[in-house]
Amino acid sequence: MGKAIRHFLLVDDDAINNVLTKMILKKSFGEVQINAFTVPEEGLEFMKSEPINNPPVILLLDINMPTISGWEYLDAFELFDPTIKMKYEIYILSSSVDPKDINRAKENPLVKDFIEKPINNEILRKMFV
Amino acid sequence: MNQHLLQKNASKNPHYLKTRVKVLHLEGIFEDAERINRVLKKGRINCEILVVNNKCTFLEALSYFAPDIILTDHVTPNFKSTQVIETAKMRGINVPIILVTSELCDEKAIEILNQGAADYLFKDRLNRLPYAVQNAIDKNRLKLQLCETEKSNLDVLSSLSSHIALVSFDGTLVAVNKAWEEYDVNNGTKCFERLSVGSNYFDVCKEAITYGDCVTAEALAGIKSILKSKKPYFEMEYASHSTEQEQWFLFSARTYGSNTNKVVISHQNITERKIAENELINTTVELQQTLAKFTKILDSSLDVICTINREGEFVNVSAASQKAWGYKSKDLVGSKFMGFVHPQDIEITNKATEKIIKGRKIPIFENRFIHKNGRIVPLLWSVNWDEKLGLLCCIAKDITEKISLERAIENERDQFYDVLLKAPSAIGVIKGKNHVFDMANPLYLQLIGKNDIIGKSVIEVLPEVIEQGFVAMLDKVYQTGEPYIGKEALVKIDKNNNGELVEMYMDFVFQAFKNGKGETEGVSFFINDITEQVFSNKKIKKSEKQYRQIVETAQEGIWLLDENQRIIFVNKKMCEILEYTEEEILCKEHLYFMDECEKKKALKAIKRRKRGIAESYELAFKSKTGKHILTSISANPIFDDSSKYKGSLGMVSDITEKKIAEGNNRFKANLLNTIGQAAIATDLDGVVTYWNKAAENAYGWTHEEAVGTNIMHLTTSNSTKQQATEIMKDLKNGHTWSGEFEVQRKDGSYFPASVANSPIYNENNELSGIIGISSDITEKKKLEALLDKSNRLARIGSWEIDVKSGSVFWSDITKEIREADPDFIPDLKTGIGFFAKDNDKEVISNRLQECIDSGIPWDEELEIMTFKGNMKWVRTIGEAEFFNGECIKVYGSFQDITERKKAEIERVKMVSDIIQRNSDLEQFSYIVSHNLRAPTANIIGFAGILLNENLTPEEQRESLMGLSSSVAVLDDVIKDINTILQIQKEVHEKKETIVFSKLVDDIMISIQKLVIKPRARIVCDFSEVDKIYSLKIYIYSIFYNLIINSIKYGKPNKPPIIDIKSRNENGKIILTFKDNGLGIDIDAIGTKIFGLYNRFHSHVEGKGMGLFMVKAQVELLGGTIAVSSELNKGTEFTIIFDN
Repeated sequence: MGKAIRHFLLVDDDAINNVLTKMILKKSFGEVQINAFTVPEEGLEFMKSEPINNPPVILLLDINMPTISGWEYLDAFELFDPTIKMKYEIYILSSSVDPKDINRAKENPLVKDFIEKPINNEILRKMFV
Repeated sequence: MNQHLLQKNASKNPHYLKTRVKVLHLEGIFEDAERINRVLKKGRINCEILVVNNKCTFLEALSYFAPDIILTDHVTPNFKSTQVIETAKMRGINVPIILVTSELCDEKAIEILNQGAADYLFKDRLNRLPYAVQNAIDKNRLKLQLCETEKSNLDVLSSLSSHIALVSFDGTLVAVNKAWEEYDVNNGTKCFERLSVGSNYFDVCKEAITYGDCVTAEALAGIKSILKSKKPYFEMEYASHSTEQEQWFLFSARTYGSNTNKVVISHQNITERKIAENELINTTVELQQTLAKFTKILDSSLDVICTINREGEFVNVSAASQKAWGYKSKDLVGSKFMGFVHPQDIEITNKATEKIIKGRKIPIFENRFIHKNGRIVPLLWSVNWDEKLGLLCCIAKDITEKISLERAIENERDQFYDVLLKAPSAIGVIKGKNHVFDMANPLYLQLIGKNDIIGKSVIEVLPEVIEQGFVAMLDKVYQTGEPYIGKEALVKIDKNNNGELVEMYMDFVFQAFKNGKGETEGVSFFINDITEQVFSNKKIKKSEKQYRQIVETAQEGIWLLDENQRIIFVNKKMCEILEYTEEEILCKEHLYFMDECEKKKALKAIKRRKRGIAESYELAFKSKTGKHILTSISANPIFDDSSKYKGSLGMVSDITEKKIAEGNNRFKANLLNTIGQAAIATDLDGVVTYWNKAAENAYGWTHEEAVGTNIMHLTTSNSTKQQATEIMKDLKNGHTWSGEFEVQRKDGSYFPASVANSPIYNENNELSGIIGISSDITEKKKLEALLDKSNRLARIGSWEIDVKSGSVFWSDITKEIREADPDFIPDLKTGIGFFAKDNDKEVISNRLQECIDSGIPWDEELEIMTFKGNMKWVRTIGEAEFFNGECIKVYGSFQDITERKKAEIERVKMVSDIIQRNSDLEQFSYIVSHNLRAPTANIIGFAGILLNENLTPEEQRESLMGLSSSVAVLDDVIKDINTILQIQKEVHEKKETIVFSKLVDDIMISIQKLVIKPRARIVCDFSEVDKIYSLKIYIYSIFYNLIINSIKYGKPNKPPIIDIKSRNENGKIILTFKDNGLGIDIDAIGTKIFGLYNRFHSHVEGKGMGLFMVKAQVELLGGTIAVSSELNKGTEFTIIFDN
């Protein structure tokens, strides 16, 4: 059984950050599958409709986005079918250093952890221990 | 001649009117068209042919050519024969269409024929064409004629009122006329259910039959019999009654011409005929019944019925003759009837007979016949002369019994009259509902002073009694049959016929007067005049009553003693004096009411009485409660006819109070001297009659100096003399006066006094003088002035409401606060009406009501509008004053707290501003940190990659690009922050006049590129206000950002239109920016729209700064901004500046 390719989903309106995260992921894992969205609605649509081959998919979700916030994104996700929900592990990836945001992320059972931008090798390694 | 014939034909057949047949020929191949033309000409078809070769020209030709026939190929370029037929149909062109084609399978041809083509021919077999054309045209003409005929037939059918329908052999309704269709609407009865075309009539009939409808069964059988050719037609009548009216119908069914498969059925409404028939039948039956009865009557009649001829001989005589006259009818026939008439009556009979024969009508006449046994038979005759037969038709009634009855009645009546005349009472009879005198005895006539009343109504004879209710009584007796009995009734009658009503008292009975059948015919009356008795009774009663009244109402006690000094009469006053009841006093000795000392005095007095002495003396009684009552007694002895002492009469008056009053007066005089207020009495001219101690002190004049001097010289100052004179005048008229008044002392100094003056009356209730109470109010005045001053400083006014009268008092300061005129007279409505807000009005009304109802005091801070329209805040405090559990007064204070309130409001606003500012700052710092953090994090990330990894040149380049972009973003954010912070500084810059139209032009030039691409249009209307005095940099920014936003968030593929309008409202400049763009869901987003770095669209670049800046700038300029928006409709911003 060959090693499964890790699958990441990036949802962040900041395109530069997506570029950065992609580079870091590639550097860390070599071959990875990455789907990046700057429009959160499109990310939700992807999750709803795209079949997943290699679960779990890691969702790196920003908080501060124009149309819907990361929190609203999570609210929408919560209503998804359990068969979809079980395929994702969600991390908040935000530039915020506001303790309010961090606490809120930690209190949300859907969120595995809060990651402060920028993401780095070390954090990624911890993720897959 | 020939031509004439032709024209006649032509008018019959419109087809021949034209000399030529117009042929429209759609043919793609020119050679074929030519060939067909030749064939037609050769076939002697006189025609005009228009050849078209495609759809376009064909359609055009249809509009101007008006063909009689269309020839068409099966397929022409982009047009098929089926389409040709379709087009013709759609345009309503009812001409035959013949398909002329080179090749076509039979199936296809049949399909096209079915679609409406008249015929089809192959191009290689054209010899049939002329015939086909002629045939098609003829057929079409006949078809049109048929249509017309059908239509006119249908019209005729529809205009018939009968309900007609055509039914096919299986029961389907093929056609119906209008009346049939409308039947249901008008009627709604079932019987024969009216159906619409296509339904099955038989099915419905059968269904009705299962419900037991025999009429329908009969009708259905009838229809069936026609269909089976058993009968040519079937008819039946049936009733179909609705709830509102009775109706009958004639149902008929007939074969449909020669068509044996169809039946025409009709329902014709024959109600009217039926009703007429029924009436006729009824009448006939009645007539027969009557005849039968009549015969029976004739046979059993006791009257003799006979006919007599011109010669006076009996021709026919009924059987009754034997009983009536003693002769059998056959004995009488042929004999002269005059032979049986009583000799005395022959002359009357002859005359009557003559008259009857001459045709003059005599209803009935009487005569007498001689019975066979010699008895005289009185007869009543009814005779008619029949000229044709020459016969007298007679009915003779034996009236022997009637006559003897009449006699008996007459006798009775005579006797009755006899009784009446002699009766001691007034008696009479009145008849009918109008109460007409039928009879009255002389006593009655004498009573009412009238003659000749018989035949006149009561109303005519005694109009005066209507008002007194007697006619109504008669009406009642007449209507109910119940008697009415009057006792001592007062009746006023113009007895002497001089217009003066004489009062009489009567006892009377009105009794219904009934005939033999028990019906009330009139009223009989019996009246006894008792005027004399009543009058004398009344006189006695009256004098007794007067006497009692005198004794009872006397202000003196009266008692009567018998010879043994026992009290045999005592009046009310005496009872009051002694405080005993009448029963307790009567029969006691008069000594019982005195103590020992007085008893001696009384016994001595009695002795004097017995000697016949009358005298007055004082005597003290002891009342029931033990009070000593000093009385003055005036006593008179009473002797009987034989000069024997029978007792004495005492008139007693209580003089106790008089004695006490004398004492009281002395006390009051002392009291007046001891009170602190000056009490002065004068006569009507103002001359002082009383001057108390306080007056001496207050005015400096002694009692001796003052009494006898005119008050005007004593107390009035020069300045108040005039007023004093007027007050005196008022007092003399019986008015009182009170108020403040400046008065003078003996030493010439002045002081303010509170004065109450009132007139005094003596015991005869005559104005006898004036009394005045006055007090020095110098101190009080000082205090009042002080209070007023302090109130004025505190801006506190006062007010008072007199709950009873509703009058309202406002103090001067209250008026000042309300900015009312000093002489304004307030009332409750104005008081409440000037509270500014509706809510405040309600509050104050409720508080006042609670205060009046339950005494709850209030303390409220409310806003009022003053009389000059200024708004003020006031604190109003109210309290109630109760008297005997009832609120009589509400009073309170009224304080102007506008300044304080303004400060308070200002403070509240400031605090809320600070809170808002603080929360804004928090938000600002959070957002700024986030927006600074985001590019910083990116920089850290890229820097990390660049530092630590082994990078391919490609990756290195990418990282550097990312790094540089992030740095650029960071720089932008820092610039933004600078811009935002700049706002605070700029607000202090100089203001200038900005012209809106110019401003918009400037902006348009600067953003030309942005405008041109989406073809944005800006529509401005600054006609109302075109300038504002403000900070240009802000106004520019506001306009700029709103315009840019509208363009940026326009709908894709729709040129943005931005409407900018300015208007002036109450000195405020209102700017509206309206676009037709994407809009936002305002309910979901709300005021977040103005938040910093808040963005709502992902597809367009933006930082979320624009509206934040706009709001910040509007607010710094002291304005407000509001937004309304609807998703996909557009957005409207409204900005309001205080000018």
